[in-house]
This record gives sequence, structure tokens and C-alpha cells, in this order.
Amino acid sequence: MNLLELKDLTIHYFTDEGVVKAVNGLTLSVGAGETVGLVGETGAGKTTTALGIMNLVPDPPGKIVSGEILYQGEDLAKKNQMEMRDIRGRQISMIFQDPMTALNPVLTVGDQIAEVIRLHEELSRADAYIKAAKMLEMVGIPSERLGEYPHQFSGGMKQRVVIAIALACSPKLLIADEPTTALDVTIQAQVLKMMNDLKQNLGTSMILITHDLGVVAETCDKVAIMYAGEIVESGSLEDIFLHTAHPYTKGLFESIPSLKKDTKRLKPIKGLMPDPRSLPEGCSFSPRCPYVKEKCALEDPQVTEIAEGHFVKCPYWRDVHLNREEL
Amino acid sequence: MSEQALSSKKKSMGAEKFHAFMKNKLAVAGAMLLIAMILLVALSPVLAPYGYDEQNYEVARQTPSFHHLAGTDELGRDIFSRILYGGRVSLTIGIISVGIGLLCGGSLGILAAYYGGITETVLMRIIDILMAIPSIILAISICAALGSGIVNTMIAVGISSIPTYARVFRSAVISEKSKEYIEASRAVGAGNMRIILRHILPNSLAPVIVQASLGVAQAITTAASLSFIGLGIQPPNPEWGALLSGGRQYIRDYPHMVVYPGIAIMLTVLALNLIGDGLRDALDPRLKR
Repeated sequence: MNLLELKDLTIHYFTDEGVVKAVNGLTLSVGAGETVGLVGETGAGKTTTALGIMNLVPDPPGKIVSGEILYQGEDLAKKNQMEMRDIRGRQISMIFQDPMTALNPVLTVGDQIAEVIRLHEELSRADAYIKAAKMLEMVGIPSERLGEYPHQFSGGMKQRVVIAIALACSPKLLIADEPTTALDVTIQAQVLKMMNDLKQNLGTSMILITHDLGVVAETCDKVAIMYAGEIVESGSLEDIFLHTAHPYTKGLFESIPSLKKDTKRLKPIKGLMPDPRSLPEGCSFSPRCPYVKEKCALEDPQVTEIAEGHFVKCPYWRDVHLNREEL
Repeated sequence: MSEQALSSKKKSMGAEKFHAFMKNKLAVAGAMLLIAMILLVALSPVLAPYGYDEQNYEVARQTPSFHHLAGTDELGRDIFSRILYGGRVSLTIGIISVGIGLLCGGSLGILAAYYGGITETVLMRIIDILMAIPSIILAISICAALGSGIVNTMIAVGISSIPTYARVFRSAVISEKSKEYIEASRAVGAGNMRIILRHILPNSLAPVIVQASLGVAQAITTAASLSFIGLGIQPPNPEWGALLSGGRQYIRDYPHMVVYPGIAIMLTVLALNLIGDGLRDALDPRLKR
């Protein structure tokens, strides 16, 4: 059984300006110990999916309209806030995008790490601080700095503290929402490597949300490409990177400069992400798709499994697939 | 390792903040001034050369001299003694009424801002109704309803300051609650009470502390106005505002009757403001150099 299974998850925001369809029928599974990369442009619904799993979608205006979030066979969408509080931090943890604002400025980092521990484990204050010190050492910060405030740390160090908080109760699933976006490139590599090591040591599964395919290539086992609230292609790292089958995925790869080839110009994907309040009829990528056929704008394509574990939401994947092989 | 970590934590909590405050020379001056005031006022039965209601018509309306440090009033009462005794009433009213305002206004403001929606609408409209009445008139009507006396004056002044504190707290909390660390603490399983008390409250205190230190000063003057129209402190009990208004009619010929109580009020307000600024700088780690 998979640790986490999202089945047909749909999350909408009901605002005065209309219904924002952030996540539409998303299906995704995360096995024990696996790292799944969730890749997509800004506004693709990645963060909403993450908040949905934690049952933290701001309500109002957000609402999980339909679908199931099966965590170890239990549907998190049906749990009440009290039950969810036990799960958050202990079973499922989240790392936020910006470490500068994800820590409380008036509490010491020791206080903040100890807080999670004390919330979920029956430990005395002193024991919780001892454990917090261990966590700090584990992310590579000397435990003497337990009594310091967030502003006394650099950005990369703060992200380490955030990671220490997230992992303090050894959760089974870690959701990392663009954990390295706010960091320098040099620090990015360090933090990613550390997250990977810790994940392996603790046997934690991870959902890594990012828009950086390079980060995905370094860390993930499985990849899911998200577009306008849907997963358009998913599969193993190899499936996505070497046997690209969806036109959108292909477009993403073509937008990255290659070291091997001498390209004068990149081929960006034309147009913009559709307004989530009025998604196009049929396939939501069709207005931007270079392979578009008449039928695309009429009906929503089915998801097909083109190889074991490799799913594509495009009936014309063969065209894309062939082109990719030529490269 | 852990022992060391624990002790370094303790130091940073208490001692470091105290240190930061002590570095601010003006704030320390303010604190010393206020402590001196409180000591003088607290020890008034020992220090005051005369009783606060001791009348002596032979020395009525005397200018300051060695026998009467701040002169005497129209009934020959020693103004210096009356200032000392009056300070007890004034300072108590100032501090306790601000406490009442902070507690009621603060909890209303925090709840409104944190929960938002219908809770906020209802609570803030109630505050708006309170705000529509000028605070001095509100205090007058409360005092008139409850009757005069020190306790009722404190309640009246406290209630009339609720809207201010509710507003200050609300705006501070609104800007805090959308910060990512609040979401982060929710994501590790913290409940509403914990988030409010441990994360939001300490972060929104900085503007409130400054407001409260000014508020003590304002409460002292509001209480004085109440005494002036005969609703607050009843004669012969001395109170700084009452002393001021009592000497008002003699201001042309005997200015010492209002100048000295005025100086007492001014020094207290100054001390409180200096302390407020110093506290804000010390308590807020974001302002650390």
C-alpha cells in the first residue's frame, strides 16, 4: 500500500470574482521512502495541493470539493481539525518556501524546535530542549546556537532550522514546498543534499514541490508534471527525462538551455498559463500546444499508461515521443 | 552539550532583554525617574511634612518657602504634601485603568483579528459604537452611573480606553497573522490558543507597549478631568488633576498652585514615554543592532 494516495482531488477557491479552480482531479501516489517531484509553473496549483494534503487550505474561500486524500488508508479530507492537529508535524510535515518568514522572530530557534516536540511527544521541557539540540546538530548547526533568535542566522541556516522543525518528530511524509527557491545556488545544493541524506536516514517519504527540473533530476525517484491543477504526465525520473511524452513537459525541457547542444535561441512555451477562473474547454493546454488537433479543444483527454508507471494525459503522445527520441 | 545549550537559552530570554534595555540611557533615566516617583509617592505618609487635609488659614496661598516647599493652597494646605498623597491616587488610577483597557480591549481586538469574518464584524462594530462616543463623555456617563470614587473612576477610565487598545491590537494582529510562520506553526499541529498566545501575542506587543505607556499618562489626565467636574476623586482627597483644577482660579496671582502639580504630571508622563520607547526597542529583536 502506498503511504499517500491522492485520488481525483479537486480544490477550488470560491471568491467574489468567481471560482478559482486551483486543483482539478489530481491523482498522485507516494510510496514509503519515495521522493516524488511535483513540477509546474507558478500558479499550477502545487502549493494548494500541498496545503490540501495538510488540510490547511484557507477556508473560506478554499474548499476541497471532491476527491480523497488517503494517508495510510485513511481519508484526511474527512478528518476534523483536532484529528488533523495530531497528524500535522508528527505524521506529515511541511517545509515552507521562504525561511526568512517561516520562523517566529521573537522566539529562539530552540523554543521553536522544542515546541513541535512538546506538541507531539510527552517530554518534559528540559528533555524537549535536549532533543531540539540533537535536531540542530543533525542539520549541521552547533547546538550552542539553540538560544539564538532567527535573525542571528543566515538564510541557509534558517532553512536548516525549518527542516529541523519539520523532521523533529520523525514524520513519515515530508512536503517540501520549493525549499530552495529563496536560497543562493551554492546553498541550494547543500540544503538539497542534506535533505536527501536525512530523508534516507529517517526513511521519510517526500513530496518535493519545485519549478526547477535540475533539482528534480538530483533528488527525485518519481516526477509528476502539473499544469493548471492537473497532472499531465507522471512517471519515474527516467520516464520523464528520457521518454518525455506530453507536449507540455517537452516544452519545459526545451525552455532550459543545454550544455551539450549549441542553441542560439531557447524555445519557450508560447502564451501564458490560463486563468484558473475560466479554464479552456477540453484539454487546458490546447491553446498553447504545438501539437494541437481539432479534437483537443472539444473533449478533455483521458490519462493513458504508455509504459508501466508512466502516465500521460494526451492522446497524441506518440507524436511528442517520436520527436523527443530524435534529439 | 545540552546543559550549555540550556543555560545559553536562559541568558538570552531574561538577561539579554534587560541588557538591551539598560543600554538605552534615556530609557534608564526614565525608569529611574519613575522609580523615584513611585518611592516618593509610596512613602508619602513618612515623607510628607503635613497631612493632605491639614488646613491652616494663617498660611493660606503662600508662595513656596522653606516651610512649604511648593507653597500652600487657598485653605492653607501644603501643596507638596498633597502632591505626594495625590500621586498615590493618580498613579494607581493610571496603571490599573490601563490594565483594564488592555485586558478587555486587547482580547477583543485579538479575537476579532484572528478569527475574522462574522466574529470580527460583530466585535468591531461594538467597538465602533464605543468609539462614536467621545472617551471623556463615555467616562463621564460611566462615572455618573456607577458613582464617584477611586475604583469607579478606574473602571470608567479603563472602559473608555477599550476602543483604542482594541484597534491597536487588531491592526498589529492582522499584520502578524498572515505571516508564514503562523502557517508554519499550524502545519506542525499547533492549536488556535497556542498560536494566539505564543506566536501572535508576543509579536504584536511592540506597538501596544508604546500605546500603553502613553495610555497611563492619558488615563491620569482623564481621571483628572473627571475629578475636575466633581465625578472622580472627591475632596478633600488629593489627586493631581484635582489639584490642577482646584488651583485653576488662582492661576493669575498664585501660579505655584498649578505649576507644581503640573510638573508632577509632566515628569511622570515623560518617564513613562521614555520607558515605553526603551521597552519597545529592547523587546523587539528585529530592532536589534
